[in-house]
Parts: sequence; C-alpha cells; structure tokens
Amino acid sequence: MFAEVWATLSDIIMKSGFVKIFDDPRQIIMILIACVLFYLAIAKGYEPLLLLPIAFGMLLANIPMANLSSYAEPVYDAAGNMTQTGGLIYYLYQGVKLGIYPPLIFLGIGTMTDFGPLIANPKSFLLGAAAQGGIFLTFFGAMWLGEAFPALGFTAKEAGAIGIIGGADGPTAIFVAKTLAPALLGSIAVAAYSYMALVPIIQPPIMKALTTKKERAVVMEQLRPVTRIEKLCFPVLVTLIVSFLVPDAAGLVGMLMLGNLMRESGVVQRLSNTAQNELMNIITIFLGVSVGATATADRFLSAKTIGIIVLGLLAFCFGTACGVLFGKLMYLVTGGKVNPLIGSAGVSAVPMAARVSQKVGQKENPSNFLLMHAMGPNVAGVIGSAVAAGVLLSILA
Amino acid sequence: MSAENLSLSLNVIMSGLLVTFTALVALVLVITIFGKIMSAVTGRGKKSGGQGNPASQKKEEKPAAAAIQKASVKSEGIPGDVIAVISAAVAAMMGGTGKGFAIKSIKKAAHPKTKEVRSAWSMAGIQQNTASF
Repeated sequence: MFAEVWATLSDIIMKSGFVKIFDDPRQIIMILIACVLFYLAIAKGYEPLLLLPIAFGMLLANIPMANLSSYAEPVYDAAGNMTQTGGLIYYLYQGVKLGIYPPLIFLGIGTMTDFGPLIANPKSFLLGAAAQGGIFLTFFGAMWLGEAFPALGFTAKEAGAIGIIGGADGPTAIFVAKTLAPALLGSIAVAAYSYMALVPIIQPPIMKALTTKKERAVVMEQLRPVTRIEKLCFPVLVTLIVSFLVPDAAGLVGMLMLGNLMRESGVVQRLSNTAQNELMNIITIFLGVSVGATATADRFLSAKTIGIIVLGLLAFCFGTACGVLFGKLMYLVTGGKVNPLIGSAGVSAVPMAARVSQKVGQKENPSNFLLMHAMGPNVAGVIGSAVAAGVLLSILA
Repeated sequence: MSAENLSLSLNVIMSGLLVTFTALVALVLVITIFGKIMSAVTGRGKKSGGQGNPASQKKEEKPAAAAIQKASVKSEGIPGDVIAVISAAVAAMMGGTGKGFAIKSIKKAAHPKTKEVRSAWSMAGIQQNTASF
C-alpha cells in the first residue's frame, strides 16, 4: 500500500515541471525574461496593455508539460483521428496566424482616431510617408547583417518582417511577421512594443541633433476647422485610393477606416463604443497572450533575437531621422512655416510620437503648441505603415 | 553583400518608397482638392448667412457700444463683448456683488519670454488641455 502511494507520488513528481524544466534549462531564462517584462509593464508603465499579456503568454509557453505555447498543435493518428487536442493558446493563436486580430485592432484604433488635423493639413501625409523610410533602410540593414554574420542568416522574408518594426505600429508588425517570418513573431512583437514604449527616450536626441534651435522654435499657423462632410468622406476616399493601389494593405486600412467612419457618422454609436472598448480589449488580451506564447525558448533564445533587438532600435532611429529630415525639407520649401519636429511623429506610435514633438518643441518655445500639428503626421504614419506593410507583403510573400 | 541580395534590397527599397509616397501623395491631392471644394461651398454659405439681416445686426451692436462708452475702460481695441466677459469674470472672482472695485483698463499681455501676445485665459486653456502630454 505504502509502496504504491510512493510510486504514484514519484510518478507525479517526475512528470512535474520542477523536474522537467531541467530537460531544457533555457525555459528558466525565458521565465526570467517574462519577469523582466512584467517589471517594465507594471513598474515602468511601458505599453502595459500589451506588454503585460505578452509577458504572461511568454511565461505560460515556457512552463514544462503545460502545452501552452502557440505551437501546441493537436495530434492526429494515422487514420486522421485527433488523439490530443491543441493547447488553449494554440487556438487563440489562430487569430494571429490567420490575420484576424491585427485588422480588428485597427478597427478599434479607427474608432478612437480623429483624422481632423490630417484633413486640415493634408501635407502631413508626406511626413507620414517619409518616416516609413526607416522600414526600408532596416530591411537593407537586416539583409546586410544576415550576410555579414552567417549565425543570423536573415532571409529576405525575415528582413522584411524585421524592417516593419520601423513602422512603430504593433498590429502592423504582427500582421507582416505572421506571414513573412512566423518563427520570429515573438521576438519582433516584443521588440516593436518595447521600442514603442521607449519613443520618448529614443526620439528626442535624434530630433535635436538634426534640427537647429531656430527650426525647433517655429510656431505653426492654426489649423483650419474641418467640416463634418470632409470627415465622413475621408475614410471612404482613403480606403478606395490605398486599396486600389496596394490591395495587400486593404485589410488593415479598410478596417481602420471602417472604424473611423463608424466614429464620424455618429449613427452607430453602439458599434463604435463596442469596437473601441469591449472588442478592442478582448482582442488585445488574445493578441498579447498568443503572441507572447510564440516566444518559446528554442525560438526566442537565438542569435536572431539579438539581431532583431539591434535592428529594431535602428529602425526606430532611421524612421525618426527620415521624418525629421523631410520636415526640414518642408521647412525650407514653405519658407519656415513648418516645424521639422513634427516629422518625427510620422513613425506612428500614436499618440506617443506626437507628444514627443510637443515636448521637444515646447522646450525651445514654451508657448508653442505643436501637438495638433504633430497629430497629422502621426495618424498619417498609421496609414503609411499599413501601405508599406502591403508593399512588403506583395513583394516578399 | 552579394549581387543578388543587393539587387533585391534596392528593388524593395526603391519600389517600397515609391509606392508608399505615390499612395500618400495621391491622398494629399484628393484631400486637398476636396478640402478646397468644401471651403468654397461653406464660405459661400457663411457669406450669404452673414448678409441675411443687417438691420438686426445694427440693433444688436448699439447697446454694446453705449455700454463701453459709459464704462470708460481703456480697452486698446479689445471688443466690447470681450470686455463684458472679463468684467463678469472679475466680478465673479471679487464676490459677485460688483461693488468695491472698478476696472480702469484692460490690455493684452505679452508672454515674458517670447513676447507673443496670447491672453491669460487662452494660455490657461491650452495648458490645461495639453498638461497631460
């Protein structure tokens, strides 16, 4: 009797995670990384809405025997009968794998975004386009790095997925990475969201280095009021133009603009409220946990992750620099009417990047309020990064 | 970098930037043209609305002008309705009785550093709206 109980207990202990974790000690490192991300999300407030579920997904995926990674597929026998169901997160992950969650997040973003500053000053679109230079320069950097360091060995598809980090837009990065480099999805998502949270630290030195005091002090003219008809037509026009030109971007841009039309029309308040609250929150939880659960030890702890972390930072720096330099060009062309600082907001990261433009501008001139001017390029950056994503998918997928 | 990878990279960079700029320039043009059409339409509407009833406008202006003359406040071109609002705000802050004080002059204050003229109320409003940023 006693021997049987002992045998049962031994069996339970041998099958427990405490013993099994020594089969792959790298999982301990992954759990520690998840704890660091918890610290950043909770104590430092770095993009907590996404970093917290991502970190928890990472934690779950690295618990031995729990079968909770995004890759825990169902098992079938030779006759095709399912002998073991997939893990919980495997099923949640299908929303990422099939490209469902990112467009739904864009729907929610659309209901929360006021495109008024962009409609009032359409030239802001150009800054949103220029800042996407970071994506393409980082693509080049990843291709070069992959060849210079064979341990990294980035393929063209992987380079494209890494480059999109420069779009500073989480859902877009996930949308591209799940198609071009699903194995790197976890690392790319963590890098994208971490650097988005670090925008107030990354951008100001670049903005100051590339502009003169006189340029930073430029006070821009007040934006004209935008009529309701303009706000109603804007989402339809953007959807048609972007989707006809880059059909691969239609999913993201279409949902973004549907959300915006729901907001501006004022006739579907219930749908708009649901999209920006309940739906957005549910999708954020599913997206965060399932993307975090792709970061299993064997995939995450590799030289490629280090390469992605370095290239992700470069992508943000390149994007900021391209935006500011184009802002300087607009400053020259308009005879000093455009403050180049608003160019850095073109990298997306709404509204963090616009806040940075406001803060840096106000340091030079305390009575200067660039926030609404920077919101134009900021929301243009969302559209621009979706277009750039569509271009990468159409060329590389 | 190998010739094949270099060619692919340049292809992605050039075509990527070209398509992104083309899409957004197309949006600039369409939105600008649309905005101009809307400004023209709404501008015309405002003009016709403003000319609607000149007689009633004159009637409304008279009492305000008279009030300003009576009050004899040095106002440096500040409109009468603004003086009325400032006076009301001062009265409210002083206890609401309207007695025991007199407003002798109202003038626009320039920012001490920038010398830019922006009213204290405007500054307070902007500060309040952007403080969280």
